[in-house]
Amino acid sequence: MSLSRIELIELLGGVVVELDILRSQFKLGDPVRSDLDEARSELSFYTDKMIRHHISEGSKSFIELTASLLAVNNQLRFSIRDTSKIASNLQLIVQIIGIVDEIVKLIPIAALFRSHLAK
Amino acid sequence: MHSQYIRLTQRKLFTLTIMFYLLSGCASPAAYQEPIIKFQQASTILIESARTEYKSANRMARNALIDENSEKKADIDIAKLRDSGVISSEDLDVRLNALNALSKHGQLLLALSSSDAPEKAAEAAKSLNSSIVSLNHSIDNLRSAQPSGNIDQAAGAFSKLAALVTKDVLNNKISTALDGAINSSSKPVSALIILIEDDMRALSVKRQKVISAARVRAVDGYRESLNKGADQIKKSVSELKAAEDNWDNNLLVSPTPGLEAMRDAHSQLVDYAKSSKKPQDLSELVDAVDAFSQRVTIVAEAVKAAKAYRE
Repeated sequence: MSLSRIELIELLGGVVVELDILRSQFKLGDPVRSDLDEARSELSFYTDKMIRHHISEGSKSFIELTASLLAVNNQLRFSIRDTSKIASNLQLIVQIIGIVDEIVKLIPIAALFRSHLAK
Repeated sequence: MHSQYIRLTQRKLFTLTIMFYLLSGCASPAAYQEPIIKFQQASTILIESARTEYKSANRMARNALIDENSEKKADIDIAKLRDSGVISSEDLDVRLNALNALSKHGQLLLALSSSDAPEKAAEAAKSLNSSIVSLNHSIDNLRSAQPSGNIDQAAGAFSKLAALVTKDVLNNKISTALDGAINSSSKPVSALIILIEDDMRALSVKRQKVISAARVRAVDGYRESLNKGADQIKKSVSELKAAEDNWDNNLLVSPTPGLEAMRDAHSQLVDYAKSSKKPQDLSELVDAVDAFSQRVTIVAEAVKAAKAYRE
């Protein structure tokens, strides 16, 4: 099973909100909180990129990557609210960020060109 | 009680009028009038909600970037602010022009179904025509600026349909124009609504992320205030309450069910245009338009309430 672009955006948005709930349980300055803040920031950045740009949903890579993402997300959603599993949850979040990083590479270069110029 | 009686009487009168037309074998454009009026009214509200959402999207994203950077004590420059937008100016132009043309198309349907159709329809057709010119111009701009996905195709197909309808109106073929406006609009209107629906879902994720981040900031602020004086605690408590209210309220705001209902109602309009126009066909149309109208009322109230909280 794979996702459409909009389903992918909604899935990522859902993970970001769960990360917010999780990070709010740790005080500012706590090393775990810093890791979660960083993960949130990366995932939010990628979600915005997906919102801003068009992507071909029919490509083989998109279908395969979103299918992998769904599988990792299914594991994460059962444990993300359990703070005792923070280490394994962080690993799953890093996996998600890695997959989304690959998905973002599928955005046509011409679409990204203008925003790279701006940087 | 009294207003219920009036509504029932109005409905009976309306049904009698339709029955008269149908039994006398004159399926007049007037048969469409009440559902089209309701469809047009509900569409106007929904289109306005979508327009507001599009226009505020980049502002919301920019403010979120400022909040995020100030929280991290990170630098900000104009390029970063410009880049924070979730929708490019070319994309925004196509969408706003498409919404405008969709709204003008609804006004034309209404004019075509009215008793003094020829004069009103010619005016509405000219207005639609000028909105199509703007739409086509913005589609050209978008195509030259970036890969445009499906929006230019959907908006382009809608623009072609609208051009054909205006031609019939200007040639004074009112019945043909009305049936044509509804019949041939099935695919382009539906495709356009689906794209707007996808945009609204994406912008809703962006808004949800922004409000969720504000909740975390409010919790952090409350925690920090516990080591400070009573005034500081009071202030952070009130910020926390506002952030939570905003979150709860945002959960109710989704124009998607309204857009789905718009698609259903439009599809019933098309079915009715294609049907032999029996009273049963009309009642299905009336039910779908009523459901659309009710859904839009709920959406509009939720959007209004959410806006009040945000402000």
